[in-house]
Amino acid sequence: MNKAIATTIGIVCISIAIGSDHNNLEKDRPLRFDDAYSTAYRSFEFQAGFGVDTFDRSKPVYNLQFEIQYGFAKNRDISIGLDPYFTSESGKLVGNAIDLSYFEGVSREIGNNPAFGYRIDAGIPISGGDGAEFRVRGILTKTLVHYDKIHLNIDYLQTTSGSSGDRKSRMGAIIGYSNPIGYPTRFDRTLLAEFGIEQGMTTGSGYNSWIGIGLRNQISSTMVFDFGVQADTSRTSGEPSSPLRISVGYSMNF
Amino acid sequence: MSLLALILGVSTFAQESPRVQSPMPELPVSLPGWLSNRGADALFYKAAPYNWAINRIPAFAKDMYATSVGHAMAYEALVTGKSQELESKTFVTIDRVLKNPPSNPIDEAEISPRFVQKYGYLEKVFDWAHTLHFQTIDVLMHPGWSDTQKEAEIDRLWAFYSSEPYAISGLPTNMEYLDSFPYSGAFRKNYPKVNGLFWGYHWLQTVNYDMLFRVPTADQKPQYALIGQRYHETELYRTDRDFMPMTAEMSPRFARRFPEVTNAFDNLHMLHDNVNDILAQPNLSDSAKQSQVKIAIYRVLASTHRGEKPGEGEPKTLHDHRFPYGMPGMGMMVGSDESSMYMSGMGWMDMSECAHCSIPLPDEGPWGATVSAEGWTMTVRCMMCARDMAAETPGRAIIRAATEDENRLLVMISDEEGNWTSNIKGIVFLEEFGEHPNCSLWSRVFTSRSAFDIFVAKVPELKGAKALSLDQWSKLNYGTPDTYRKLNRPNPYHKDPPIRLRERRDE
Amino acid sequence: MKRILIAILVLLSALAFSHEGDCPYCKLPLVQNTKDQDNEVVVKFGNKRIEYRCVYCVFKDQKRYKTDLIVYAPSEKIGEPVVLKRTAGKWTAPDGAVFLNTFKKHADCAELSRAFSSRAAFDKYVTDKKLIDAKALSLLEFMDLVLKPVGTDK
Repeated sequence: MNKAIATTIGIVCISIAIGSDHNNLEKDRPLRFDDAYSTAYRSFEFQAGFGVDTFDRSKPVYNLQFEIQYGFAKNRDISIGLDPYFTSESGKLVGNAIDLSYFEGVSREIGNNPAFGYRIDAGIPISGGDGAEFRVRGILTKTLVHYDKIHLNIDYLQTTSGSSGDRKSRMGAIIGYSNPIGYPTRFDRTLLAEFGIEQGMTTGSGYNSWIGIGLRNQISSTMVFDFGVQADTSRTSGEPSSPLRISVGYSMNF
Repeated sequence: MSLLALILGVSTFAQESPRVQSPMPELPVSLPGWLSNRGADALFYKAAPYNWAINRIPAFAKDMYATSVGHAMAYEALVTGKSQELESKTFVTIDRVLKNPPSNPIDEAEISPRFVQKYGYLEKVFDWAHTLHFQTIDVLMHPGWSDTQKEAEIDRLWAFYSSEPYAISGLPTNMEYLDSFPYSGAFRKNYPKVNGLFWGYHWLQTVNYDMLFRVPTADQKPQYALIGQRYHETELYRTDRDFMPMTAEMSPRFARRFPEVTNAFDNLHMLHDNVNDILAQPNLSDSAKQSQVKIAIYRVLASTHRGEKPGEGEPKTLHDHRFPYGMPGMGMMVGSDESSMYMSGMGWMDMSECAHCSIPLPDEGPWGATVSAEGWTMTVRCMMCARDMAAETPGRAIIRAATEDENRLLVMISDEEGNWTSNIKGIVFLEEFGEHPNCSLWSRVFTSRSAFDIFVAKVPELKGAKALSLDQWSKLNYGTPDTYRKLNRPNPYHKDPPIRLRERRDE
Repeated sequence: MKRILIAILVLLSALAFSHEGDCPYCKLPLVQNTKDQDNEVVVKFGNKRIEYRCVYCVFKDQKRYKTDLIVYAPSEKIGEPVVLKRTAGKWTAPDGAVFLNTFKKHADCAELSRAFSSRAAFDKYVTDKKLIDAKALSLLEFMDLVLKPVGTDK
């Protein structure tokens, strides 16, 4: 698995990379929320990221993220991704699911009406994994004051695995905020922030919540670098709380 | 009435037929369906190895990226009720970006969100045409491809561009008609400084093509040192232009080879001007502005002119696709006919003639040269005409000339004193002064002494001709030819004397 | 009648096709030499040969040129211009050269902003043209008049 991932990264880095955009917000790049716009028709986008989930600091979990996205039609894209992780406890890289995703941008912002889109994600187990996970996300994006935008993501999550005491379906929501930094003298950075809540995994438990702040920076006409920090503000009992999650990553179109 | 007065009157009438004045347009019976689509419909450009080759000349790339800013900021000001700031705060903001251009391309929608909320359908047309602009430049700047490969790819790019419903027509359109509506001219009249910036970077967007077309990639960057300086020091701040720069005026060689691409750019820039004028109207309601913008889009779309052909159409109407003789890459202009047109800053010109000696340009064989100086580009018959035209013009100049090898274009750049450098080492000139109608025979440049000798041996009247080095040739000067004729007709854009570049407070 | 028609046609030809360019400074048409009077002002430097409408325009526009200049200013003698030189920023003229600068409108500058090889030539020109209040200027006086900021009193 390590070799395959390294080879994939190598191939993509060598390939011709053209034009990613710091304004185009994607899930996990670097925060969890999406904006309501798909990737452009006929574009491929490769995304890669590295994250550290500190939990109780002595047992961090390291995440790798790889995703290839393709705009197969106007306002629609599909993607396939891998999210292997490495725990300091096990010492092993575990990547036992692939993520498939379908996105549709239904409507852009017109007049006072927000942009609307939705996403359907599926986490499908591969070797060693069990159970599938699905998410349907509705997304609204609206210009707030002038250049800044607010993004509302409503999630419905469904899992086929888990113990009898776990919720099979959960709801969540994220309020995201984006604002370009430096207008009107620079045009290469977007600041992001989010507040999210999600039902806990255990039946009858309350909500988990978190906040996050991040930055997307256009570092060339071909590449965007992102950096984000998230922290849990509340966790239901029994679930490990993460005081700090850091992620860095980049995206490029081709 | 005396006979003299009658004849003068008829003569004047023939030269000064009144400008077209069209009524406020009405929505056509059926607009394209995509205008009502609610999706963002973002399109990616054609994936290819040449993309972003523009970054090979960083100063040029940055200046081109900065051109995304002006219209977006102005439109945003116009739709957010800040038109009163256009000539002050908005101008300063745009100018600051143009002076400190970004290293990366800018998404126009992100800097004009309120504009795009209202006119998102228009932004689709702009974005797609701007993509064509950048990709054609990238092709021409791509190293390692032959000119044949590049030209074939630009043809493919045109087909790719035309496959989308947002494509602008590649037919020549009548610019006088497109600029004839009740709102026409409002923006340039009320906001001359900001309009000057727009037409200034239209100058850059049009002049760059001859800098690149059939020019070896190594020879492109030195030209931009001159062009970029002219752009920043002068062209951005001119408020005396009568009309927007046309692509065929600034890049005649590119326009001759790619008339459809050229016409599409001019139609795009005219669409920009129409939208400027519409949004600048204080007396039009929002919904009326929406309708007029949709009509303006409709006028220039390829779908509107499907099946029509260049050279045909009822004069001075929407479907007038006539073009000046020998220039299918340009529509008819105010007051022009098939043989003459008015070029702002140059006066009336017959574009089928040498700009220096007024002899018709050759139809066959090497095509002569172009001279770029003082912001204009002119086509001439021969090297002598090129040199002497540059010599009589202040400032630096660029000559791009045919040699005996059709795959080797000569690019010469002069300093302020007319001292030339050449991209081809060891060039040799022929100049056996004779009658101007034959100048393209006896005034030429060759890539080598042997090529010179071969040519001279074939032409008996050139027997004994002396091969001149660049230095020897540069020092010659025959002044303005006695065949030169300036068409002395009034400026069709003005009833009053034209506004001059410098204020003449001494009068 | 035939002669009148021919004259009209010649006049119209002249109107339609004048052999002219424009002055780089004032943008008015250059005035060509005639058989009775030279009018073309030529500035030469390096390989450049730039024509101006009058001497005033040359001095007004000289800042754009960074190098040494030679100016061939048409004089009272056909084919014998007054040669002015700017060397390392300093202007010189032949001994005895005299200048006229009395135009109120630029349309008259070719006639009324000129150089002469002598005071006598200047006086004859002023008499022939019936110019009132024309003052013979030295090179320094001419430059001072042309280059002073607009609106300042002497």
